Amino acid sequence: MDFDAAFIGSGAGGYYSALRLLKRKKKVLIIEKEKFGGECLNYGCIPSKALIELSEGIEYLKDMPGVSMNYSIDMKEWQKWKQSVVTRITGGAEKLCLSLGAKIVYGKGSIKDRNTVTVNGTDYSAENIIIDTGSVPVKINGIDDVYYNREILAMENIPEKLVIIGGGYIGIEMGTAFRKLGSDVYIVEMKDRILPEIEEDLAREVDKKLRKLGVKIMTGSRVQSVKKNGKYTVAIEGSESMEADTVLMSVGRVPNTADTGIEKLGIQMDGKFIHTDGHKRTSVPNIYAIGDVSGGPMLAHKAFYDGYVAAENILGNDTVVDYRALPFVVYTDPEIAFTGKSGAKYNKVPVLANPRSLTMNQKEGFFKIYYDDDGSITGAGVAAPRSSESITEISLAVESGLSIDDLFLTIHPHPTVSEGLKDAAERND
Amino acid sequence: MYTVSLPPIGEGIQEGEIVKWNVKPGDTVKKDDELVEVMTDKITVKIPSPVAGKIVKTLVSEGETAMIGDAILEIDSPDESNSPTGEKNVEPAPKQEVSINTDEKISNVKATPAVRAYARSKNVDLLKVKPSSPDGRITKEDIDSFTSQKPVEAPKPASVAHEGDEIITPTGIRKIIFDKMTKSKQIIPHFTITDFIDTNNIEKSIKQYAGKRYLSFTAFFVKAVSAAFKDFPKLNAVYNENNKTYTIKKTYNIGVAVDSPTGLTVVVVRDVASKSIFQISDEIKDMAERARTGKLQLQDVQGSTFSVTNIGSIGGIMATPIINYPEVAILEVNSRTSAFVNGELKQGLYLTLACDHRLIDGAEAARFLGRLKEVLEYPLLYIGD
Repeated sequence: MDFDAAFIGSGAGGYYSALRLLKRKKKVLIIEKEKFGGECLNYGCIPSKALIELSEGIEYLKDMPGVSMNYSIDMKEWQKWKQSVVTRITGGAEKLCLSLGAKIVYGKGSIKDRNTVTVNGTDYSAENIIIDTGSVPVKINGIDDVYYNREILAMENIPEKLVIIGGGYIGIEMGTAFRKLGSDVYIVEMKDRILPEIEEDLAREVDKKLRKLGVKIMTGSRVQSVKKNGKYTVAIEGSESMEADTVLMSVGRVPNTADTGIEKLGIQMDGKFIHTDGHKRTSVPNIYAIGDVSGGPMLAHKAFYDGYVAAENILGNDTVVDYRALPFVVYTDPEIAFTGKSGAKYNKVPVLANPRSLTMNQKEGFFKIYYDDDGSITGAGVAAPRSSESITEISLAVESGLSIDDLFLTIHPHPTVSEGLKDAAERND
Repeated sequence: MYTVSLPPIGEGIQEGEIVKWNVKPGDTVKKDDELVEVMTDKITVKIPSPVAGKIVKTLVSEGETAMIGDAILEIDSPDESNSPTGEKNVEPAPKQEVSINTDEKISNVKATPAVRAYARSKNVDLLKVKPSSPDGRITKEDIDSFTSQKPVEAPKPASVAHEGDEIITPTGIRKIIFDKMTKSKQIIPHFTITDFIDTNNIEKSIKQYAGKRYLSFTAFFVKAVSAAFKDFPKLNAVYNENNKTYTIKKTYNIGVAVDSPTGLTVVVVRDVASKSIFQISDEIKDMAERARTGKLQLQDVQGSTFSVTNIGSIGGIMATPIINYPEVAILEVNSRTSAFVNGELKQGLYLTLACDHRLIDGAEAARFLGRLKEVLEYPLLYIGD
């Protein structure tokens, strides 16, 4: 065999898993059809966070009493800087893989048989194959030439009027950011609320703030057509059509299994996803699938974790996934985060009672910890500044079976946002 | 959420072993669907579902023992929840659960991620590890001590198996017999007394009714015991190990050992004094039949105060029975044989009576056995119908 492991896709799960194997002296092939690092690093999490950070900085000053400012943004310059950040991260990951002995081949990889992958007409044999082909945005027939996550994050100007179709986390994050950067933002969501996949009380905080910022939210609304003739015309069922200079389609993502060759091997599917067992093995035992393509929430940190589990099993260390505390974050205002499981028993403390948040001029949101009858923490929902950072405290508690008393008795620095979690861990009796 | 507790199974039954779950998480059940088979020291019962709903999780594993009232199962049911809820915080829980299908079962025990990974590397099932800390958290040390004590569990010399040997681990009914017999022999100091009885009159009676009414041979002994108790009440007692006392029972519930496909079962004829020998015959026949088909009810097997065993129908002219703990005496009916009584050859059988010597002295046992002999040799005088 040429390789111990061949990765199809160098996204978050793939390169992370590859590194784990490379550090343990395994021979690794990484096949990438576009850019090293995949969607998250190049077109998703990383660039979007850069944009959101910019918008929050501006909004913070604009909103601060007593501060007045004139500013201008040269988006071309900003894009260059953003690209340098992305390249630093992707380039760093790629160089590290190479320095540890990986072979990286650019091209479309497909599985020929259970031990062979083909790229650019060349066959490579491998003991194990890991499919990490990620996901692609849902595209709707008849709605062409609109913006998706990749295009919107590459914009070299700030749109005047931005219509976002789909009020999921991508649409809401982008809507918040561009509104703060000055766009007139409309969000069209089919369901009766935004962020339908997220706990209602968390979503409500975001909805409130978006309306305060002047974002127009149309829930229970269905887009009929999008036409482009210089400007876009968006027709909405039962309501007047809108003109816009930019339309973002963010109605979900689907696993990307096109041309991977999995159908030739008869690999078992779960709908459009590749079926995997707890070891992240597909129905062909030496072929693994990780990340978005393997089902479950489409999150980079889930892909990392899947990649770890697959690598351990390839290394001969029997390991299975255990998603008991799989966090997710939406970088909105307030930032919302959730981990573990909700339940009937919880304590909730408002952000208004958190001194550090007030010094940041943040008043919306809450800290909510769920626990079971013996006080063991089962999960948390947080809508507060930097909740993406503090949620891990709760994940660790869930992973370790800690109780609210353990959390409460842990000294938290003052003043911090995470103190809100400590306060929510205090028993009321 | 509806939490199912192990319901009361019967008088004096405090716990039961979960033998088999008939449902698994994700299953939908109707009210009264059978959820689980629970084995007590008396009988195996099937617990019906108190509500309709979807099984969330089983809280007790197969092979484990639960006390009556222990939570054993959670059902997601539209029926009113019986779970305790806090006074505040009663807002209905919104759903937010990341559910990802994998075919691995993850135990929900309290342990840090590193400890869980360590357990997996040592091939240790965390559910089997006893946490040393009072809050139930399993540590690395707990796993180490679990793995280090494991080999000790199997005593080597006894279990060295050669090719073709078979190792039997008592389970189910066999395990109950195992425990009960051990307890009886360890706790009760037995003594045994034997006498010969002439069965001529019993056989005449049975012949007399042949074809008209069913009369069981064993029923004569059951009825005779109850007749003899009137003057020897101490023989109809049960022992209480907790406070080291005896309770003399006023009702004569006589256990009769019957052979069933799963092993020895003792069925109970209740309040023998109030029943005719025909009724007793019918009851024994009915219960023995149901023992063979696995249809016994709990009241058929619990609450005996004295036992009669009749392996004589199979063979053996003499045996030393083991008392059916916590009773104080047992009567063994042996095979029919002949013996010289006062120089005359008589057809009959040997009776063996085993007693708890702490309560019953040899003299009393001898007198009781003497009374039984009288009753059985002239049955019509005493038993009638």
